[in-house]
Amino acid sequence: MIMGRIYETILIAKPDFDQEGFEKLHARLLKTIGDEGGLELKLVDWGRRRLAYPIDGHRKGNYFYFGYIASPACLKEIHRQLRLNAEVIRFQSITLSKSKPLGAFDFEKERERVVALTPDPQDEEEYGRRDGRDSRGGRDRGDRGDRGDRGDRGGRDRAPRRDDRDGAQTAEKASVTEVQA
Amino acid sequence: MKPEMRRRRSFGRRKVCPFCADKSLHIDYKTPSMLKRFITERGRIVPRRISGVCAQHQRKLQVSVKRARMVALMPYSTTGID
Repeated sequence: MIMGRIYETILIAKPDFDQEGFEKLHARLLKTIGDEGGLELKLVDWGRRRLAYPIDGHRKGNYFYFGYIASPACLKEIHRQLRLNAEVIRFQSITLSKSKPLGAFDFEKERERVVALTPDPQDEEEYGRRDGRDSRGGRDRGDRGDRGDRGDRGGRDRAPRRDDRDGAQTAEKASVTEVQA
Repeated sequence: MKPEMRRRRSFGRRKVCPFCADKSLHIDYKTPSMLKRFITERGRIVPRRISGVCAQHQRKLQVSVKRARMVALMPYSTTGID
């Protein structure tokens, strides 16, 4: 008898990951789960959010929440597929229930439970905003791009060196004239 | 100094665990806005002697914050430079 658990997986895809790409991945995962007699419970697209810290050079990511019943072997296979997918930059799975035979799950009841457990978290505060506005309320301007060549900054031979000046008084005068100039 | 004098300084009001006080408050790694109250500006987890959270809830909180960090919902550290 195949044992199973309720799992939830959060996966972060690259910010330019499109709906089409996700549907392909999703169909694949569904097939993996379905083959083992598991079931999808909930899928939420959290959309593009700002990451709290950059991952692989990305400052934003497409979040997907995925709740399902599956066997441990199936979870392993899901993880393998997520690792293979170059668009997925991070994923994390959490166990939500104890191990039970797959047939013993009351799917409808579990679905209700998972749905209740996971309020679609539109926590649009500091660490992520969906509509492209950042925490300071400004429009998202994207990357600033290369600043280009910044030119010569002068360097240490611009100011007169201390040992070139003769005496403290002249040094003081020199600094005054510098300010005026 | 007598030992009795050294013991007990006067305490302020005993802090109450916010999660015990409000049962509806759920500790979940998917809600960073709630967890944010229990980390410092720098992103460190606030010790429970400061926040007043009870031991059981602090353990759950700790796990949740670490999970949230893993999926970049919360920062590991904030230096302020960024």
